[in-house]
Amino acid sequence: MKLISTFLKDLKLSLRSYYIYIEIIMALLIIAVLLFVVPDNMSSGYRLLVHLDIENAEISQVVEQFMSKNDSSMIDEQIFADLDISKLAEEELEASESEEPGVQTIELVDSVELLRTGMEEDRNTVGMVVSFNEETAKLAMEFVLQGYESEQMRNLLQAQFAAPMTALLPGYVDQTELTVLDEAAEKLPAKVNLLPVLLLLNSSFVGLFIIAAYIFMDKEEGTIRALTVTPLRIREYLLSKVGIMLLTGIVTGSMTVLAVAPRHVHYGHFLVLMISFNLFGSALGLLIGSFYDTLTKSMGSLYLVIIVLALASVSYFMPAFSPLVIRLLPSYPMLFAIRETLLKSPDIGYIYTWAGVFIAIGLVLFALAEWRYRKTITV
Amino acid sequence: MIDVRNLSYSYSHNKSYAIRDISFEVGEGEVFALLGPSGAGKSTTQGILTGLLPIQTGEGEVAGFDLRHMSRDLFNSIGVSFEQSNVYGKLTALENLAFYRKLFDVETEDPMELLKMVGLDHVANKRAGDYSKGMKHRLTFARSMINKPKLWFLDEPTTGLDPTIAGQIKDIVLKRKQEGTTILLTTHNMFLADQLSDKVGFIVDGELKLIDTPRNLKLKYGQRLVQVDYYQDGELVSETLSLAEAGEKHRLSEIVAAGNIETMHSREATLEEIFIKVTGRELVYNEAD
Ligand SMILES: Nc1ncnc2c1ncn2[C@@H]1O[C@H](COP(=O)(O)OP(=O)(O)OP(=O)(O)O)[C@@H](O)[C@H]1O
Ligand SMILES: [Mg+2]
Repeated sequence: MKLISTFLKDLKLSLRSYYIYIEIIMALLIIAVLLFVVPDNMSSGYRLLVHLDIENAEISQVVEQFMSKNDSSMIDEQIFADLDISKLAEEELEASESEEPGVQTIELVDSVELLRTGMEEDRNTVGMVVSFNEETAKLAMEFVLQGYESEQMRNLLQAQFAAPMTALLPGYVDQTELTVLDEAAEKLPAKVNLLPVLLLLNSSFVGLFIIAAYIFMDKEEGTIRALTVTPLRIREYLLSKVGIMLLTGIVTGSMTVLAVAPRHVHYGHFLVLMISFNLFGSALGLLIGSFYDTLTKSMGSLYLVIIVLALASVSYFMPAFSPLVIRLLPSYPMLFAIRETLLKSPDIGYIYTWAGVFIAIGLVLFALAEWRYRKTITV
Repeated sequence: MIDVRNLSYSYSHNKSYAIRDISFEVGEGEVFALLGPSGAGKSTTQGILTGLLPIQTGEGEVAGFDLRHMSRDLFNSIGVSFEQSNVYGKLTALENLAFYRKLFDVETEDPMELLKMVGLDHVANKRAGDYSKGMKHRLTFARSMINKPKLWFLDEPTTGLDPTIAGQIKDIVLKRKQEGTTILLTTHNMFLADQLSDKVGFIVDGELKLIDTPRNLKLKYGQRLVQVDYYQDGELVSETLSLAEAGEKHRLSEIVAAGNIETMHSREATLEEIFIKVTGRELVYNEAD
């Protein structure tokens, strides 16, 4: 009962101060930018790494020539020239319907290892290994994909390379084969892919700053002391603030995800994560706030913590750059867990493990914060 | 109601004590005033008794609760009016009280009635942030009554208020006293203490120098004083002389002999004068702070 009264009072107070509106306005900005400014796919097309595993100089030359000729401007002509018309029409239709821009640049690499590391460094890369069997005098082609390429992209690759090659060297081409680096990988449209970072910052970590601001408001007015001489417990006082942050976090988070990725999000899983991460953020904000008596004095620490946590987004966008220090940041698994809730087949185990971990850490931080506040209240 | 023994408290947890070895008792229905200059340790003492500050050395009981094992339940039976007003500036006076009353498990007062009592009913729906200092102070005072406390802590209840309002506050306290509320009054206003309290304690530099009733103190330390205003070289001069001191008695007869007396009357010593005499310290009292 007391908790509810305190919560309602805090809600009234927060609606009458401007902090809460920062979060809401930020959410609206994020929605507007993602919906109207960020294109669906920011990549300008794929890079193709090719390794030629061919001893026979003559054949090797023919294939290399084909590859060097096959720059992006010629691709379509090549397909038109060498493919059966009826099949082509169908494939062209499929290719143009998809948002895949196809292969734009081709690079030759010296080994299969180089090809794989190259692909891991740049997720916008596909690979192709061409080998020649001297005994049977047959050419074999193997495509190496990241795993999130669409069906259309796979068809496009076949059309772009396998079919013309067959036409170029009739009787030589034996088979084409497809392997993927990660069977489960799924490529999200750019704006959906940006969501985890923005959601984490606005709906979980901005709360860290806002909850501290609320506490300082109470400290400056001295109302925190007035509550100390009532039957209300400090825990209830702090929980009420956590509740306010949770409410605004859920509202802004849901607003954003439902506006930007309504067909991607698994809302139930998403909610669980938002609650867990928000609790973590609020408890951290409370704890940091307990060491200072004004917002101005605490600003440095709060800012530093938010920036450090935000660093994880670098590795989120560039998986090749994930040093241990970044992987150790709590925000690192948070980002990938949120991303999971946006995939077609989310990794439930991953989502709920991290949800549980951060609820646990949040509770520990909260207990510490409670202890700190009990200790530092003064006349 | 209050029984504390050997309380000492240090904010920095070292040998510099804000209060040292304080012991006193306040019986049910009594009004006890802690008197002392600024920085003497009055608020610190009240802070320990209200559980705001953790007890360090010593022991005690407040409203039947052991200070070492405080229960939140204690706060249902005490009320605390703070020296510095502390209300939600973004809530109206009425909202402030309406919220606060929900925090208690006991019967509470009607917020509007309380506001009427302290003369804030006409601005009940105005945000407390727009109140003057004195209005905020009255709201803080009114709030401390909301749970009909059996034990009431008042820290400087009239400081900074204009005399009329200070008078109203004094009347409210007197009325509660008559209804049987036990009151711990912390003040450096000797006049208020004299009018309200059954017992006073003089506190200086963290130490409680003496406890007694105002009446006894006056009998013990008070001397008959004569205040005389007279003309000397055309200017009006005022002097207060004690009849207990031979030198001053002599001086008085000189003034009388000179015959230029404007007014002359005898009076008993005030608590303030007794305080100075007992502690050797002035009670710097400034209505403006
Ligand atoms: N929060 C605090 N931290 C450290 N020292 C404090 C704190 N509050 C008070 N003190 C010190 O403790 C001593 C007693 O202060 P206290 O506030 O109890 O005096 P007081 O009698 O209430 O004075 P006033 O009449 O000015 O209200 C003073 O020396 C003061 O500087
Ligand atoms: Mg004080």
